[in-house]
Amino acid sequence: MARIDLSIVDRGTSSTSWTKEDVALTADHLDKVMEQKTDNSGALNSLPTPFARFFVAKEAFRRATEEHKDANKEAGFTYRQMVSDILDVYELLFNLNYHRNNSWKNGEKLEIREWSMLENLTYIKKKMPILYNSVSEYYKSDIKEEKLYFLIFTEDGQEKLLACSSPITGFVTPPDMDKAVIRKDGRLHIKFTGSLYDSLHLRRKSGGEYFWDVKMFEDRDIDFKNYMFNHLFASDEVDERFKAIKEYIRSFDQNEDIKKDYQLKLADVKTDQNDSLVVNGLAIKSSDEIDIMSFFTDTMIRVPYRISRDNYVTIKYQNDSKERDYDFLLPFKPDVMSLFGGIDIDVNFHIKKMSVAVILKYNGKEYVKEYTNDNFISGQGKIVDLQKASISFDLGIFPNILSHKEQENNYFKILVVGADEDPEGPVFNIDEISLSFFKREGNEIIPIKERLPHEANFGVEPAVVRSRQKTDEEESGTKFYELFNTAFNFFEVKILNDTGLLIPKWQTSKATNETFTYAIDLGTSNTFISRCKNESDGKPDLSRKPELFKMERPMVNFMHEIPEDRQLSLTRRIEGSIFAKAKNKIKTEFIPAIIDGTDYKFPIRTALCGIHDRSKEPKLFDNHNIAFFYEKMMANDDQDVMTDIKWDKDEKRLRVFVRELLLIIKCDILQRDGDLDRTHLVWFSPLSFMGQTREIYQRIWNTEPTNILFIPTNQIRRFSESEAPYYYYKKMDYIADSDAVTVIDIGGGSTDFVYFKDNQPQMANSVHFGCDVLWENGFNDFANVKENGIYLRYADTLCFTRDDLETLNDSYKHVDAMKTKDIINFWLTNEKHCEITRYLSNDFKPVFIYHLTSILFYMASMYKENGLVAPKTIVFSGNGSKYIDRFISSEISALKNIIDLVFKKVFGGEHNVNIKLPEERKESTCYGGLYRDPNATTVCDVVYQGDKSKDYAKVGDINANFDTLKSVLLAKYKDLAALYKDVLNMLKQQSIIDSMLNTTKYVTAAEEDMGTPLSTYYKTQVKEKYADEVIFNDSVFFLPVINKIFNMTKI
Amino acid sequence: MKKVFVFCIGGTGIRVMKSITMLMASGMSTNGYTVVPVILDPHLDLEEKKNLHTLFGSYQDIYKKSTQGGGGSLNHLDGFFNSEIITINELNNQLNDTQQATGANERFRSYINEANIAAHDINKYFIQTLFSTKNLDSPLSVGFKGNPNVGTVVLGEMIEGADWFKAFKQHCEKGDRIFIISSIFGGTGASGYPLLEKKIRNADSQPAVKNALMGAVTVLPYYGLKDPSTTGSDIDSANFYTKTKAALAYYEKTVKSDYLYYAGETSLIQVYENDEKKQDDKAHFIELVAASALFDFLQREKPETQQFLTRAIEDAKNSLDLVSLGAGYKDIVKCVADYKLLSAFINTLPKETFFPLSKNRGFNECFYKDAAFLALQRFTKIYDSWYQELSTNKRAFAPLNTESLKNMEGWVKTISLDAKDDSYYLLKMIQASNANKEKDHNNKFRFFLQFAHEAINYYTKKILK
Repeated sequence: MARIDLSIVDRGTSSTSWTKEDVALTADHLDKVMEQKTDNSGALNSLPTPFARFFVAKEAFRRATEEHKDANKEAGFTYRQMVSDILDVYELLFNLNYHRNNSWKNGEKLEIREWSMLENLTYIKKKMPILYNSVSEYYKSDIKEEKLYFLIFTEDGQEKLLACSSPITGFVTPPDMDKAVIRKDGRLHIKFTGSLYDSLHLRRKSGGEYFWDVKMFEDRDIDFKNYMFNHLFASDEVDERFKAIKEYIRSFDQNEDIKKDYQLKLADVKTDQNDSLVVNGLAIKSSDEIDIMSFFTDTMIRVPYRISRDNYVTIKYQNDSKERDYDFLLPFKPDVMSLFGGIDIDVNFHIKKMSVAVILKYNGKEYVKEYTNDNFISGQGKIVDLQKASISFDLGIFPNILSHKEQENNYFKILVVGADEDPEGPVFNIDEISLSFFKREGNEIIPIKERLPHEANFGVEPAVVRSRQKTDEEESGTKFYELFNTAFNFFEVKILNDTGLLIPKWQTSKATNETFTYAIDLGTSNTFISRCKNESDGKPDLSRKPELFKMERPMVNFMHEIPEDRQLSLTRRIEGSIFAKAKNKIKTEFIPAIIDGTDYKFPIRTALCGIHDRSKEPKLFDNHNIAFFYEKMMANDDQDVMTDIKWDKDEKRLRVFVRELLLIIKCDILQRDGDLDRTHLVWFSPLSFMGQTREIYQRIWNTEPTNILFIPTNQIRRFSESEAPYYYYKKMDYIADSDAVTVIDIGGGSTDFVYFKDNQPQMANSVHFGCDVLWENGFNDFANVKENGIYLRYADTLCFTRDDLETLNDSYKHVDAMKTKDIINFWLTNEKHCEITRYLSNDFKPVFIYHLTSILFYMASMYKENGLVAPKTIVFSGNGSKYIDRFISSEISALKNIIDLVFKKVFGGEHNVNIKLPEERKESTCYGGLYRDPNATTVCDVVYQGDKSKDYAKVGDINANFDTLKSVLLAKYKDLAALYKDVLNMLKQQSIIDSMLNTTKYVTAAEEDMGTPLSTYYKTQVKEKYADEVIFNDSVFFLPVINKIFNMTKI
Repeated sequence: MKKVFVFCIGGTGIRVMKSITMLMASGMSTNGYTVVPVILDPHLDLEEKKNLHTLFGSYQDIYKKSTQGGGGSLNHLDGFFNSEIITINELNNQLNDTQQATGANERFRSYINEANIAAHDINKYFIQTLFSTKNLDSPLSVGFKGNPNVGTVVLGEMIEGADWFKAFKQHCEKGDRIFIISSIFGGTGASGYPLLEKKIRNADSQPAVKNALMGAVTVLPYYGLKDPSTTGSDIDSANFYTKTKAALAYYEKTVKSDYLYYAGETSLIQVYENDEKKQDDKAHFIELVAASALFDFLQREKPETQQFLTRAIEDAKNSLDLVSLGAGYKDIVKCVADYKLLSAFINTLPKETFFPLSKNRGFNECFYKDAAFLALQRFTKIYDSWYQELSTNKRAFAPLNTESLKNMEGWVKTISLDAKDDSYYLLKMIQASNANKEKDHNNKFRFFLQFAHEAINYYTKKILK
């Protein structure tokens, strides 16, 4: 027999007759009632009061408490959903600041509107008397509150009621927000009762969507839990009517997230009347904590390459793979850095199938934001894939090293390079990428604002676009940022409307006592830098050979990762791994990533790349830079390469060139932990610099090193290009007999002579007559003229064994601005690939012999007339002197015979000179500068016009005595022609010149009239250029010789 | 005349009232109370409601015909139809019925004049908090669809302004009682009971009303409905328990009846078609149990404190007999067995040619064609259907074997009656007739009911032992 009560629950009624029970059926009895599973919320208004919902909410919390205590007592879907929804209201208000700052970007807002009972029941009585009759009666017994508060969420201009305050559970949601589980297309879906809410998508800060999914208290965010547990429902003062929800919250006392001493910064939630939101004595609060989630950006930029881990703080992927070929910019706003010391932002990524979870760890908590590829759900982020957007982008920071002395971090240049890869649609513009820089001062993050140097103590100058990609076929656009008098800790990248952070990993110099001396030989054709470590007294360590300028580490932090490949140099790996359309741009408009001694090394061609637009003041990188790429590739169509800057008298361009060299040196010093402001600098100038040019150089070298290296002028020394090599050669023991020694330094633009006697310089001389005259077009003023015979001889026939050089050569020939000397120098630089040395030696040896003979004849005449004996040792330096052993003869005896013959002709008697043609002919100037004792006797500069009978110091002096000088020179030219004939004959006899070669035409040419060209070119090159009072440091001797050589090339 | 006002709220109230009527016809005692049924249901077109009114009419007809004679009214009989039913309309001598009090087909939104509120008025949100869009758009003619919060508003207005409520207050006299029948898991009943109770208890100007002994039976879930997704109904019986639990928790502190009876099932055994417009669900045992609460109530005195009553069945079988029902149900079983025997004789006697009382008492062909007997026949037909439904429903109230009149020892299952066939009863009718010496009336119909009951009771009183 199984007796059973005829009731909802079997309480064990003793009789089958009507029997009195002790108590009514109460909520406590209902625990035993197993509800059927219900997927809709039709049960939630089942009380005989218009305020049914308020009580059902209470019951929901009571049942949720039971379920929490005993999992077997299921609360049921509808109650769980109701509890979850009400907790959502609390959480939404708790995170109100977060949502206002982070989630609601399109005008969404949440208002808390006050409803006064007295005022509104009166209104309802008037407008809806039937409702009033019912509501007024029940309101007094069920609600009692003088005010209710309605939470109104507005999106897309549409207001949605989210909740009403309740004196029983704090809040109730409207019945239209109840959910039902419906089956559609074979799947279960959640559907709101009221269609108004179908479009409601409010992402919780802690994940998921408010009011959609069920999230019980235990599954919520730790801050929220502790707010509810320790703050809102902790007090005994909480009204008895809140019993059900309070007991629910307090039932989580064993929850691991609940901590007694949990600290929260809370603020009042304000209503539309600016009152604090207080519901039945319960003061509802909002988190006033730092809103970590607000630091996340809405979008996350994905780049189609890995970001360099060496150069930037990169993302830690929890599930990384070797195959990953992309990376993300840090999806944070700049203020996020205020949370962390240094650059140690603690962020992890977890890659999912359709999304990426970004996990920011701060103060032991994790803040997660999900970024998806497609749907942009409120609270979720969106991945902006640059590859899909057909946008290529990279950047590089120079220098990538910081001095330990903050004030020395006064210059940083950032190249931004971007390209539109989409053959269709509008061209993406480099203007649509921008950077914002920030630095840390203590815990404060300081934005580095755009300022001009004269306006502010520090700042970033307005970005300058150097190149634009005008069509899809073209290469990338470039843009430069320059920070002055400040370093920076990180920067924000903005591409179109999306942003992300990049945090550079800076190299940092250590404080040591290491100091260095650098010597810079800025030659007409080539520039060389050498470095020497100093002794403790700051003087160069003369016991060690100066070092080749070579860096061990890059000086530019490019964004892209550098691949591992032992077969390729670091430079090639850096340059080769950037996106295709940027490859040429970073070479032609920026600084090499590293001077590695192989791909980039000194000497370099003295060439400056600059934009066509000359109206813009030359500024390093913004529009000009050293053409490290020169003779390797072409600049783009908007740029020129200038190769005459040494003599061009354009101070601004020259300054740009020097600045870049000095910045490289600065970087080198810091990489070597050198003490920057104790650096010594040596620079060189030819004697033949005319007054203004000399002043320009002096100004540049007095100011730029101070600006960049912070060194006083007394640590900067200038030496004569002429004498410097001697000290190196002497140190190297190249000079066997120091009794009478001359150094002949043949450069591209000038030739310098210094005479030493017993190791003491006796005199020095410099003429603007270098080897370039062999490749130029005489005194033709038109830069684009191409009449040099050597050029014309090979321009159409010279072939290269490398395709790139062949292409480059072809391009050079068709570039109007390219000069013949530049093209021929290109051939010579790449002689291994075009046999130009053999051709020149075969075809133009008499021309080179004439060039050399004229130098030697001039020098011998000068020494003799200055009372010096013939040198017994002659050492050649300068890259220009290489034509001697390349094109005349590599046999020292042949050169010795020429010199002996010249000396015999000038000094008389027999001579037996020692000849030295060292390998390091360009380097010798720099090296010599380092070895030269700063206290050594200063060499006496002598100007020699070919005649000592008069004083020709000033241009006016020459003008006054030009006839005398001309007659003397014509006699000397006659001697020179005769000497030239003898040299040719001698070399024929020695088979240095092919015996079959008809040299008569060269002799005839040499013998031709020199008077007319002397007069002509004196007038155009001296008399008309300079005022009478100008000291003329050059020599008019070579004016017709230059013309003669030009003519000889055309024989 | 002491009265009991029986308020029947919603569909369940109607069905329970039907069982009350059947039990009254069967001889269940109201302890001298005249039953005044008041039906509260906004379902204008509900067939069951119309049928109940018809049933009342038949009952009253039979009652009147059995209590008239000798030029005046006679006392009520002791057996069948021993109690009077009088409707509130008759009491008030008016035609206005509760049916006309509600807002017909009007939607709830319109009913409360929601349109009077400006579009951006904050009171729109007040309304949205209380009622769903579906609530607001529901027509009242199909009830409150399980939404007591709506029902409270509508019924409140319906009660407050109704003539019948005024009549009730007017005619409720000292000593009269009030009994409210409602279900807790639906809309109309769940909202109507506490609302009505509140209205009654707040009738300060009518002490007889305010202080009347009040009983109520709350019918808990006892049937299910088919999946609403197949019929488009808004009522989902899967919610019944959920709703009941919420309502009971609310009742705990709000309802104040002197006697509160609970009747229901711990699980939903029967599942009906889900069509709220028809609600023609078959009679159910729980309705019978709920009906029995009224008779129990009418036997009790005013308690000192509120009383809560339940009853059990002895054995939770799907088909209940006297044993499985338990001793507490003997009176009900006896009444039903009695009427079913009466039903058998109503069907057989008109065909019985040699029945002596046809001559002695005029139970002849004319008698059987008389309006009174025909009314009894019609009522009995409904009664038979009612029992048929009860005995075949889940769970089934089936304590009788009524197939054969020739082997009637087992008329009541589990016990053996002394009457082996119908002749035993007919003989006892003759003996009752012979023993009756009443001369004050010549009401054949009254004699028929009286003798039949005496004959039946002779044998069936064994059930009560």
